[in-house]
Amino acid sequence: MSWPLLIEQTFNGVQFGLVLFLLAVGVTLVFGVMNTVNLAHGSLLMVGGYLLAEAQLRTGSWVLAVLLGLTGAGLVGYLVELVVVRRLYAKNHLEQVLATFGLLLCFNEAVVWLWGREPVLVTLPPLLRGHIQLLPDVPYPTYRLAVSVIALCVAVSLWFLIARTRIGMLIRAGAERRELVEALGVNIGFLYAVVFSLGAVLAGLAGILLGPLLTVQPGMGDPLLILALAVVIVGGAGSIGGTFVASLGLGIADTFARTILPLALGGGAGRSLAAMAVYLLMALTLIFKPTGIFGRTGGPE
Amino acid sequence: MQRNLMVAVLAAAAMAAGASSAQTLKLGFMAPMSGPSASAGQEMKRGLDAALEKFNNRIGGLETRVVIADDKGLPDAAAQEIARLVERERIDVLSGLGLTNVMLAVTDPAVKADVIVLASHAGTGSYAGKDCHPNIFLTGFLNDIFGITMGTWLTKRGVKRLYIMGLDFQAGWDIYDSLQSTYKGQVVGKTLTPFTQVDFAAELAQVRAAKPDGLFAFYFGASGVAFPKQYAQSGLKDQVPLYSVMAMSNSMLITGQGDAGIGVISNSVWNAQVANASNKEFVARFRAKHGREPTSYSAMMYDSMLLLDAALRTRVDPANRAALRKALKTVKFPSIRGNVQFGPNQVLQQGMVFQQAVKDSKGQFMLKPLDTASAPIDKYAKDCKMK
Repeated sequence: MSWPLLIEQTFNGVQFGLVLFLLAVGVTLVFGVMNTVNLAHGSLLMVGGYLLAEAQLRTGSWVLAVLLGLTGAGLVGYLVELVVVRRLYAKNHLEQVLATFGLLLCFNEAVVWLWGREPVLVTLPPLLRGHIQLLPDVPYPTYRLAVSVIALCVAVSLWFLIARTRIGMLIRAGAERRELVEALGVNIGFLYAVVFSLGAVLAGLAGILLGPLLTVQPGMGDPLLILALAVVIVGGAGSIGGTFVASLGLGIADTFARTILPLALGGGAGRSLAAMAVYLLMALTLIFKPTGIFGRTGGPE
Repeated sequence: MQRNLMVAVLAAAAMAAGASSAQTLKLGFMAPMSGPSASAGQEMKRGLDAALEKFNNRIGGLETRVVIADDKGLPDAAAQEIARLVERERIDVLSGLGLTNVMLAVTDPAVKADVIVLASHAGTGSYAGKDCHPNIFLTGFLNDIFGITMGTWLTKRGVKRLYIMGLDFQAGWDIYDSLQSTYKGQVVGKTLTPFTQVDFAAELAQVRAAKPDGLFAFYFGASGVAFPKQYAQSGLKDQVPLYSVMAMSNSMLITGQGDAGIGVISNSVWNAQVANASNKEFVARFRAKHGREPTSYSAMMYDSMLLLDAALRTRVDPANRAALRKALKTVKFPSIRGNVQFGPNQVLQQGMVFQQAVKDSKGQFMLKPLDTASAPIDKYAKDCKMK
């Protein structure tokens, strides 16, 4: 592989990983803090994508559409927590999986009902169309670079929020010792609602960022959620740092596996192995470090 | 008096029932109406609806009862539905069939019950060859005709270095293999991706590195929107022309593709601009209702109904399958594709259109015909031992 291609693929891998992080961080927080599995998290990504498309169509403004998309995704997340997920905290994981899977189906059908089955159009602001030269021989799509920069900024802000603010301290405490936080008199219901809505906003942001790249259509977030679950397992459930490292690691691993393996092993075998690469890494993590690379050892389950 | 009246009423009712049973066509329609391929199934249904509207719900002049079955794109769901259609609804003709794997699941039970199968979109070679059957008519196309004609055309167009990308599944393999069999230039790279993949950054970087002078790609559904968008954003659109097939460039996907989908060159078994009265009427009818060009999904379904109508109008009773088969095979019907006819293996032999996605003078999407190709040789026909 030539140097320009290597550099370009590294950028691709990092970009993919960063978007994965935005989705996975919500899953890991909800699992870590509330000990709840949420399969409908990908639906919140879809909500972000659709709200962006609809707001773009109606307002014609990109900034406004992004703001509406984020607010909408957060609001939908808040309502979902209030109406459904709140009732699941005390249930076991199987019941949570069933209930949130049902929620996912409801979301997909609701989108079909509102927008139809055909994909909807999301356009790019003129500034972000086309590509720029990273190095003389490495052209790179401007939009993908912007996605990486935005996702990285969000990751840093999130770190600040979690590590340096009071609400972040409560979230960390909740992830470590939920019962103790409750015993200390913190309004745990409010904390849960905040965590879930925060996850929803980040998923919505992932949907907004991916809208112009992928296809805004019913169920668009579901395949990504499977990858996000792999990220959570590798990174260690509840660990934001672990999720960040695992997202980047799996994003880069997936990109390079797709590039190198078909060349090295020939068509069919290489392609099959490349498609499995992420899950192989997940299986290896489960064998050698079942709690994930940054996972606690004494946490819940 | 009372008694006589009753007898008269009963007699009239019996006559009416007898008459209607002889004059009713029970038409099964099976397509993926929900699930991941639902947009194709819904569009096929629009083609069926356009035909029913044209014939005033009387295909072949017969009272037509349509039974809709949703195969969800899954062979097991299709197997359940075909049992219902055949045993409970007792259909005469099965139409639709969007997916190859579904066709494989339903054709056998349908044919065993002596139902006539008009497959309007699934294009498996086996039913054109060793598994051909007098009851099976492929009114759509065979998958490999896209590849065969595209390979020849790209050679003629002077494309020396071609890169091939696409979905990793049976219909795709049929297309890539047949393309490579007729393409005389050099294939500088071939990357196939699974259905679940919708981000192609890594693959597009490889395409750029290979420096081809043409890119052939076969994507539809979710990836059919994502791929052209990412191809345009990567800057490849200015360097390497994109060639594809009708499944990736049509009036349904363009709403998601936007300007990224403009400029794509594809080949198709049908085009909205094909100049014949039948096609003009269909396109106008469809446009009036849906505000856009039809797609091949609706067009092939509509065309199958034109065939069925013409066959039934030769005064054939749908219950008489032998007569209906003969009529379907030999009748001259006003196809929207122009001059088409069945080969000995009951596959419709047809030419191809090469078309480019452009904006017309009003800024609306259209597929502008560039060139045509004659019907390629049907390599399956020799394996078909049909009496």
